[in-house]
Amino acid sequence: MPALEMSQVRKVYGADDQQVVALNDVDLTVDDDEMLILVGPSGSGKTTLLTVAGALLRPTSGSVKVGGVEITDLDDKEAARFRRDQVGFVFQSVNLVPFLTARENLLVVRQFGGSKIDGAAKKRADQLLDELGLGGRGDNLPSQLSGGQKQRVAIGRALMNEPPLVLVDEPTSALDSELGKQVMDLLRSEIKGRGVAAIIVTHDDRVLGYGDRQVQMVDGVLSSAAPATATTT
Amino acid sequence: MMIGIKELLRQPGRFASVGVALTVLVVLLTVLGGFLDGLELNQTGPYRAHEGRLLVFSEQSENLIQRSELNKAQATQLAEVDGVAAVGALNQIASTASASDGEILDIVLFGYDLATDVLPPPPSDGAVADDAMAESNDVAAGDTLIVGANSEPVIVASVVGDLSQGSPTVWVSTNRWREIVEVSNPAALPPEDVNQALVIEPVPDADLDLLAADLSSIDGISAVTASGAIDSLPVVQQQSTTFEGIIGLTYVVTLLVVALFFALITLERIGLYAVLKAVGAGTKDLMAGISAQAVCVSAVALILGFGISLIFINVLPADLPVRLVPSRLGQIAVGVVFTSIIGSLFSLRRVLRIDPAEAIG
Ligand SMILES: Nc1ncnc2c1ncn2[C@@H]1O[C@H](COP(=O)(O)OP(=O)(O)O)[C@@H](O)[C@H]1O
Ligand SMILES: [Mg+2]
Repeated sequence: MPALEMSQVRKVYGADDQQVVALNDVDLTVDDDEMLILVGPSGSGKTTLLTVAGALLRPTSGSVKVGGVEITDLDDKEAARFRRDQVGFVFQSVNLVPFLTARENLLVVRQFGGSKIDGAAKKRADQLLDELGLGGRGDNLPSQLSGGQKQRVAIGRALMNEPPLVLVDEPTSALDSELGKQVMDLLRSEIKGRGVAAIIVTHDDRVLGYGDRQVQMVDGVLSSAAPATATTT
Repeated sequence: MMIGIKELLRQPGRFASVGVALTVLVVLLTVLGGFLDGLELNQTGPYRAHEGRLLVFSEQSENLIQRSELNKAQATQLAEVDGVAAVGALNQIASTASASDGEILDIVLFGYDLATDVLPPPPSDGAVADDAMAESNDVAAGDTLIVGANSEPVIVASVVGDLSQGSPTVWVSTNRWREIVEVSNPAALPPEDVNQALVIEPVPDADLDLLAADLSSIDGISAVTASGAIDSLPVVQQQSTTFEGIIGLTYVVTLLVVALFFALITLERIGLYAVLKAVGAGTKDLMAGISAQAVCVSAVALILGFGISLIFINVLPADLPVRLVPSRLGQIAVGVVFTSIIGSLFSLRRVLRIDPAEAIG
């Protein structure tokens, strides 16, 4: 079963003559262990697509299925549970909780919906931090971390609840090329190593080689691009 | 909830304003409550000295001892009711006493028959004195008080605490009381075999409320417990209405302060809450954090507020009738925590409306 199935998804912002068609009847399927790279110019609708796939926003029309379940008709409570358990979202603006340490920023998503932070959760958080090269940084507040480190904590938070679908918005836009490469290497090994599905949004050419497949978006319309040549080192 | 507590610990400065405001309100509630309790307790010592007994008044008296009159036939009738172990007289008159230091005090002179948990049996000759006199005028057992317009000497047999009724009280046997009133104010002396009020000593394990109902069913009789008699006192009623009004208003202010604070802080945190919702937090998770903060802030304010009140009350002049009663403090603690939780819930509407999509951008 595909991790994500979008069919005829349309998202229109604004009303009347101010209308912007951000997604124009998009069809997209992502397999359950596929890492998809979504490229396209600024303003083409990439973030909107992630937001709709992650149940942060309801589409104007069309169907969105994640793990075979239609998510466009979830109520607020169900949508919150879906976001907690089924997707990991890495925002372009990182958005960590400023008064929680790196480790707590990971743990906090475990606690939503009344779950307890148990030994297994702590172990997982520490293991993720280790994998992300933040082993010694667990007790640091975001203000004590560099941009690249914060980005990695955000990736850890997205992976914490073991979601089958990971959505990552422009992970390298705020990083220099060396850091950008590091973060992408990490993302690839975390995502491929766990065998989960992912959409990585970017308009950064350096990122193109990382995915299994690449699609392009222009003015809210998807077109497939040449398959990425797998060149990771 | 973890988020709420961690924020409180890591950024306590953000909560200083509401903490200080709540502390001031706790002090206000504690001092006001202390005055209310102090005033009431200082008016009601003689009644509370009859805890576990019933007080009987004539039906027309509205349970006020100075208006009540009960005759011998009624006393006999009461004594025959099941559950009554003994019936005694209780009479009072406002009077004066001069202590050995020469100062003339307003007192209330009581005549009584039956010992209680507080009062010893009436001394055959001397008097029981309220320790308010011991404190203000150094009156001690063995001293002689000069009582009433006709200067009756009364020797203090013992001193007992917490018997005041506005003024200090002096307790003598019913016979001695009649003797003193007869010479100092004959017009106020009830006729032979008539008493103002009667005290009922119940048999052990009697149900006081049931017994009170039984006795009250007798024509012309109103029997109440000590606290029932206290509730009938106009001075207590007036004071508690006034003070309870002010205390209620203070709770309303507390509610507004907490509601306003969390409404403002929620506005500041819309971005953060949107992110948390985007990564799976429900409105319930966020509200639990906000209410946990309200509970913690009010707990700290209660500790500080009680401490400050204690210091404040200790530096007040000693003759001010303030008393800190544990049950009052418990009531304030529960009231403030509860009010804070309700106040924090006022942010619910705002939190519900936060759109997780706002986390983008
Ligand atoms: N909340 C919004 N309200 C109105 N228009 C929006 C909103 N979000 C995005 N848009 C518009 O939708 C289009 C697609 O935006 P977006 O999905 O952010 O593109 P991208 O991520 O590819 O830069 C743009 O024209 C943008 O201006
Ligand atoms: Mg974007």
